[in-house]
Amino acid sequence: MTLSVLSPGAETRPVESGQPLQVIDVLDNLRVALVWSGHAATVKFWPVLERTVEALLHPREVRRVNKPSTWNAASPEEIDDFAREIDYAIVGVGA
Amino acid sequence: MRDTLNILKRGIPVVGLVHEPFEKLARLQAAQLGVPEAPLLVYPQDLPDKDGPEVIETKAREVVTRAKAILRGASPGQIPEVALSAAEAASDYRHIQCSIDGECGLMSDVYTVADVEGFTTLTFEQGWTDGLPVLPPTEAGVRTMLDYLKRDPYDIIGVIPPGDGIATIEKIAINAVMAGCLPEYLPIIVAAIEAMLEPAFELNRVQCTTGGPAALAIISGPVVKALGLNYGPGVFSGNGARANATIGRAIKLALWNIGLGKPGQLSQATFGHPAGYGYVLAERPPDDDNPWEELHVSAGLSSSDSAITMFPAGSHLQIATGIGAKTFDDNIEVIADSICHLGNFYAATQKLVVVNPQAALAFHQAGWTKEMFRDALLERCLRSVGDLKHVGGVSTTLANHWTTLVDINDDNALVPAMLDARHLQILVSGGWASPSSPCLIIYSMHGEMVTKHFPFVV
Repeated sequence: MTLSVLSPGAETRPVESGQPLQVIDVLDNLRVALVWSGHAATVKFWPVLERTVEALLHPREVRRVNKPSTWNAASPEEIDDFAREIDYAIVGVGA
Repeated sequence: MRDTLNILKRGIPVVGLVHEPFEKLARLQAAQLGVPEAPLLVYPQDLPDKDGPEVIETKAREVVTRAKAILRGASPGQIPEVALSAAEAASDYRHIQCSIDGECGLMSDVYTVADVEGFTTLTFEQGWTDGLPVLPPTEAGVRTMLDYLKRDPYDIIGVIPPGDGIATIEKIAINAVMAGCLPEYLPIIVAAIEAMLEPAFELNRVQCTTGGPAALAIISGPVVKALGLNYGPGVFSGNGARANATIGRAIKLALWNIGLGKPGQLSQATFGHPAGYGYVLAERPPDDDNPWEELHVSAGLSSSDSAITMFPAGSHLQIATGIGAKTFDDNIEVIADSICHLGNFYAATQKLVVVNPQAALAFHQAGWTKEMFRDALLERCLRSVGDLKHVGGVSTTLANHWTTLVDINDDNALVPAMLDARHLQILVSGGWASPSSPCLIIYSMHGEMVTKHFPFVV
């Protein structure tokens, strides 16, 4: 006598059809978003990184996005809020 | 990680910074979310006390230079072996294809084994259990669950992080059968999933963080007696009550099998929580030595309602309060001192104090309401800035970190452990106590409890 059982594992959320990976030839004079998760281990590092981005990449505009929660992902609305106004983004720091 | 991927999907060039110890987690999650080639930049974890300004400056220059190269199209680096295994692991999960099986009529894949031993072997091979053996989720068992609930098995309750598994009624029912639940428990488990998916609970943190919290399910209302939940002696431990053990177990299995919160994979819990196999607390009913307002009533529901409250529990501290043996003022002082230890004073966070019935009745008979008890603790749960400077910069970005609450240059200024009444929850449970009168303090990691009513007719 055999035993038939159902799998408890779930289907994963369908991956949204995204754009292909984009690259930029020249970063100078572009608009950048610096999206910080606020993780405690990066409190000293992140401000230095922000300054260094400005010094080395010469952005025309810097959009600083400081998330209120390290662990909750930004909502689509929050991302839309800055996504239209930037050319590229640096996100950190994933714990 | 999710922010990086969500920006990427909008067609915006992006690079995500990841600390070295978390590379495996990041790459596995990227693969799980369908973007194994995510542009990640892995760098050594910061050591705030050891990395001086020059080290940090150098590291920042290296990171920005590498980020620039990635944004210009360079490979993020040779994909390490771990990334390949992550992708493979993800494909293992993804083998589960939804297709209506004519024989079964449910969406889930069907596995056939020779016997119970074969099933047990299968569960470990497939990663369906966290280590404890589980029961076979047969179609008949799952059908019995679904018939009781009378909901469409394909109804989606939500998407459980970090693996983004879709929590359908069917999948929740399967995990409930594996846990050994009775059908009457299923509405409670569904409500628990709904509660944990509220943003305030921060389920992604509970599932992933190094702090290793556990999801505590607090059940209150008429359902407690009706289902025979144990609210007496040994309420948290193995006490022989099926409802306590299996409801907690089903919630854990759902987080495991649907949410994929598995240590060493998508969970980075350093130690994990000893109640990780299942964590349930039933509140004493008003007619059985609970003189104080029930938890769900404090949350705005009626006493005739049945409810579950999910609490993101970090630590579980049993203390001897001496209630009944010392003055009430002494008792409050002992509890306040226990709440205020430095190991959990980085920020004002929600706490739950579980009072034994003997203690609650002693206070009640002396004229103390639950609100008076709570407010007395709130007044006492303070520490000076001078004390807290020992905890340094831990989690300084938390919204309620102590450095945001007072003048940090005034060593005598007093910092609250909780912000307000919402931050200090109290309930009565457990058995009759000795003169030591043990009580419990459970600390939130950062998120807050969420209460959900569920339909239950006694």
